Amino acid sequence: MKGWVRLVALAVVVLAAVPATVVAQTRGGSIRIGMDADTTTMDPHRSTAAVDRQVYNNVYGKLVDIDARFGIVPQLAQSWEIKGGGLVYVFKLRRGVKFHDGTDFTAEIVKWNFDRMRDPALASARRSEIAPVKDVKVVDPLTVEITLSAPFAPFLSVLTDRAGMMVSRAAVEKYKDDFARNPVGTGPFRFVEWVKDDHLTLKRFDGYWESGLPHLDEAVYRPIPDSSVRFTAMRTGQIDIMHQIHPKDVGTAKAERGVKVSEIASLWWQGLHLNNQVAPFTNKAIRQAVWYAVDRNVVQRVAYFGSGAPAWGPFPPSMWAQDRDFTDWKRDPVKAKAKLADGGMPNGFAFTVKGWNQPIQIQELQIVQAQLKELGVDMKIELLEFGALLADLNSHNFVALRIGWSGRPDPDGNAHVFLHSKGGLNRVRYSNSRMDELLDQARSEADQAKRKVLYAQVTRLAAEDAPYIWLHHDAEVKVWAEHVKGFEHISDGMMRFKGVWLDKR
Amino acid sequence: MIQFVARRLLATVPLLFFVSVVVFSFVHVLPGDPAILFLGEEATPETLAQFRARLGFDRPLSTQYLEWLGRAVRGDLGRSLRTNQPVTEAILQRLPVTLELLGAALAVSLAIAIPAGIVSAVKRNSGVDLASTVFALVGFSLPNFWLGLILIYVFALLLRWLPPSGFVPLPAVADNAKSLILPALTLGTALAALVTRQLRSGMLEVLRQDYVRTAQAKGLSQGVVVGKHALKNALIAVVTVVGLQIGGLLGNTIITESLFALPGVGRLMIDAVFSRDFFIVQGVVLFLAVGYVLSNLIVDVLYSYLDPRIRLG
Repeated sequence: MKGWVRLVALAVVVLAAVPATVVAQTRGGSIRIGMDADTTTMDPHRSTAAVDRQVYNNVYGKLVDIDARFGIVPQLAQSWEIKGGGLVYVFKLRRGVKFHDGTDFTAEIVKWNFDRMRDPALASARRSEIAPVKDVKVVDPLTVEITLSAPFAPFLSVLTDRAGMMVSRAAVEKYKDDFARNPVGTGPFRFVEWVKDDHLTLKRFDGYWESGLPHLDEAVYRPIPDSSVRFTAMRTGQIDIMHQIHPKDVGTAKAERGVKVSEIASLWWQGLHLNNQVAPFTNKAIRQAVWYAVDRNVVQRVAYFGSGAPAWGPFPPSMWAQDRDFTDWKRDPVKAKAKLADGGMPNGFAFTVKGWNQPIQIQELQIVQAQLKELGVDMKIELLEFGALLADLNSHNFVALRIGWSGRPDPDGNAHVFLHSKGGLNRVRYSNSRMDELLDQARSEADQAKRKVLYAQVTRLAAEDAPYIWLHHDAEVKVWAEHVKGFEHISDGMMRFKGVWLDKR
Repeated sequence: MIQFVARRLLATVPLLFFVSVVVFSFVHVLPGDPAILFLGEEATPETLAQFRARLGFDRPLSTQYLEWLGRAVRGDLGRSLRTNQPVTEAILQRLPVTLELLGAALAVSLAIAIPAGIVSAVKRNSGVDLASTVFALVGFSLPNFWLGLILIYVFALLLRWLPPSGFVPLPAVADNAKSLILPALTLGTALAALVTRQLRSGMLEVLRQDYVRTAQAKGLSQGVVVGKHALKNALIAVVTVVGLQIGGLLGNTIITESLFALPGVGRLMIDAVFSRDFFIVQGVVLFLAVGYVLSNLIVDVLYSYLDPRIRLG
């Protein structure tokens, strides 16, 4: 009897696993991808635009990658070992990996890539991301040892993005600054052509190390900036998969025949920055009044058409670090009034918030404006173009400012930079030594369960101090045609095409 | 005539110099630091400083300007800060798209406006006249982008006759034309409306002239009177309007190209403005200024053809 049970259980497991492998994957074909913006540069070490990473994920191999559950999985590094209390990372590299130009991928190349990112002359945007790296040593042709100056738990997760992307040394030396238009990586697709603002074409790399992959012959990225037009292109079959759909169109997309919609939690947060060094937000009680005055559920329902989730801290629902037991973020006019009185402004006050001149952002601010008005707080909205907004943010030239953060796979990347007194994006100049301690501890702690406890404390302390008023976590939505198969939707929103095939029967 | 053209061309030199000063200073007083946009929000002050130094942005504006000007007169407009592509190459690559779009928009608007203007003048106060008046009013009032969205909704989504976006370059003539119809309508409708009204009132005035009555008295057919005698004179006002509107049309290509995802000069410019790709912005604006000056020159030359009484010089 026992044997039978085991056998049945085994059969169930096997059968459950079968569909993924049995479906005949068609080789060949071209996938057309509708993007919200054009790629800005093809050099991952110089890129600062989120959109660039989409193409990179198919052209460049990374040391490691993340999977749908935020687990770190091998890519160019076959395995790794963390030693010396989290200070030393030893990567064993995959054998026989070639760049698109035919050169070999070796430990020497990894070291050269890190040197390139750390070279001040390149002014790489990656330099600050890998700041904890103290030394990179070639142990043997397929082993590289990276030493950090202090334990840094998010290190591997940083390497799942552009800092882990390995570029061809031969190509960089050949093209120099023109490498930005002549990229060479180890990814499943090689670069073919880029006509700015029209299309960027990749072709299958026949020397790709994963045998049998990719299935597709070609991937063509088309930037279509207007979201309605992009969605129309999707509905009329001009594109096969679409990046960035406006929340108002999600319902229509779900009802559309021949179209699949996947909606998962992203890594984003949206919110208000309150300048902690400028009146009235120097006053903690006044910041708390704003915290209790806003109704995040209304923001989600109205500005985001019900997609995504309300935000009460830097960690989105996709992250293990989110503290789901925390509830002290609901709108509470009585508490808000009391906080105003505590802060010495029982009848309210007036301030100006700066924001980006985009529809969703404007609506979000108008909702907050109306909610604050009910408490006698008069919030004026000043809209700016994005570059100007960033300039004001970076120079601390604001009382309040509304902006978002695209998020990082490790919670550290969503919190440390904003909440630590020395954080690189702490433009509100918030400072609390207890917060610094918690964040530093969480960063150097390797055990996820212990980190979760620390991040729960971070969430609560951040809510108490209210340097930011978190409002919303965007949904990560992808829309694709039914004939697109094998697409795995991951919270970082990156479209990885190596396992995708087209079934156009 | 040649003397006139030469003199006008010479006169554009100080004008373009002035334009270059204005463009350069405007681009540099724009709020927003290119270093931050290029290196990301997390860049440290020292990395930002290194970036500025590498591109010479840390030197006095006058030095930067003179250096840029010195290279510009030799045809070198610098390189894109992002992709390192030479600015001239980037502009020339996109110019065919924008020129084709402008040409198509102009053709569309004249194809609508000339018949509509003539008929509504000749058949004054008729149903046709009323219809053309309504068209003119609506066409001129509709915001460009909205009209574009409506056209996309009707012709791409509902009827599936035309593609909603993208540009197919020549020599694929049929696909090229298909990809430009909606953008050309979007860009050309306002101009069509304006020209219709202009032509109508021009025609009405000319039709009242003595020489028209004489022509009619001579027994010439209505077609010859209207088409040959009246239209040519009424067209002078049209040419003026079209010439003046070229600048506006150029400006509107930014919206039209972005909406329909066409890789033209307008889109190059707007993207460069948002990312503070200074050399591209400066290059494109200078280029457009030259284009505008030249198109005005062509208008002036056209005058003398349409009305020999107008003497150039």
